[in-house]
Amino acid sequence: MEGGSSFVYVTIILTLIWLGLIYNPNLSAGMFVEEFFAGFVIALGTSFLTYKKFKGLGIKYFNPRRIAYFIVFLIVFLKEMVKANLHMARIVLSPSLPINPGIVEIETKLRQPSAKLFLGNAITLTPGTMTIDYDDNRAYIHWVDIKSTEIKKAGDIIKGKFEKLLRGVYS
Amino acid sequence: MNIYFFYLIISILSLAIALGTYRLLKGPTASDRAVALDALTNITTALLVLIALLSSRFIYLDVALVYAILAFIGVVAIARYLEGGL
Amino acid sequence: MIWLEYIGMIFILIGSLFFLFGTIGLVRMPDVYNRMQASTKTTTLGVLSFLFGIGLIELSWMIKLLIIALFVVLTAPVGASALARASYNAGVKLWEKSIIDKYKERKK
Repeated sequence: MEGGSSFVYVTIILTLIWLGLIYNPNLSAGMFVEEFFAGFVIALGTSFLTYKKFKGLGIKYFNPRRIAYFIVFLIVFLKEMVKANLHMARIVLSPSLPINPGIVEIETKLRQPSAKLFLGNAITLTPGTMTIDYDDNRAYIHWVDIKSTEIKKAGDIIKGKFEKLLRGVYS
Repeated sequence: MNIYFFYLIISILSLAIALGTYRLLKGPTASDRAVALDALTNITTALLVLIALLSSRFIYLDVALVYAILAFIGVVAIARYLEGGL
Repeated sequence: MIWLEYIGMIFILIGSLFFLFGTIGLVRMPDVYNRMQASTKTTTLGVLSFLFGIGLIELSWMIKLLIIALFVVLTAPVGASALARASYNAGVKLWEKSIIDKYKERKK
C-alpha cells in the first residue's frame, strides 16, 4: 500500500510521545496497560487521518546510521546553543551594545521540509542568527553581527556543521 | 531546597519579569509586545515547574506542559493575525 | 545524594540568570528583530537549564521535565521565525543602522 511506511512511522512517533506524556513514577502496571492501549488506538486513528501529509517520512528513518547522525547533530546543537547564549549575554551586558545587524541570504542543498525545519531551528538557536523565511532553496537570516554579505561565505559561517550532519541523516 | 537560595531565584526572576513587563507595556509596535509576551511565557513555564517542586506534586508538571503548548499556539496565532491571515 | 542537589541548584541559578539576560536584551536592543534574537535564544536555554536543575533535585521527575524542555526547545524557534516574518510583512522597519536587507530585494 502506498504511504504505508509513513503511516507506520507516524503511528510509532505518536505512540512514543504518548508514552512520554503518561510517564509517572507511581503508575501501577494495570493502569499503564490501559492508558497505553487507549493512546495507541488514538495514535492509529490520528495517523490514518494525517499520514498523507507526511509523505517524505517513513520507517527508513529508524535506520541506526541516521539515528547516530541525529544524535551527533543534537550534541553539536547543544554546544552551539551554550556558545550562542554566552555571546548574546556578552552583547547585552556590554555598555556600548556592539551590534551590526541586517538580513542576509544563504543557500541550502537540503530538500525535505523536515530537514529545512531542523536547519532553521538550529540556525535560530546558534550565535547571533535567526531564520526569517525560506524561499525554495534560499533562506533569509537575520544576523546581529554581520561578518559577510556574500551568499556563499555567509552560508559557510552560518550553517557550520549542521548542514553536513543533516545530509547524513536524510541522504 | 535552601530557603535563601529560593529567595535569590525568586528575586532574579522577579527582576526579569519586571523588565519583560516594561517592554510589554511600552513596546512601540504590536510585534514588540508579542516578543515580550513570548519571553514572559517561557519564564512562567519555569515558575510553574518551580511551584510543582515546592509543593512536591508530580501532577502539577502537566500544568506547565499544557501552558507551554498553549503559549506556542498563541504565538503562532498572533503571528498569523499580524500577517493578515486570520 | 546531597551533591546532586547542589549541582541542580547551580543549574537553576544559571537558568534564571539567562532569563534575566534575555529580558535585559529585550529592553536594550534597538529593534524588534534584535530583541527577538536576544529573548528567544536566552529564554530557551534558560528553560532547558532550569528544568534540568529541578530534575537533578527530584530525580524521578527527570523524564517528564526533559519532555517539557524538549517541547520548548522545538517550538520556541518556530514561534520566533513565524513572528519575525509576520512583523516584516506587517511593515515593521529594521533598525536604521542595519547594513543590509536582502529580504526586501527579494520581495520587489
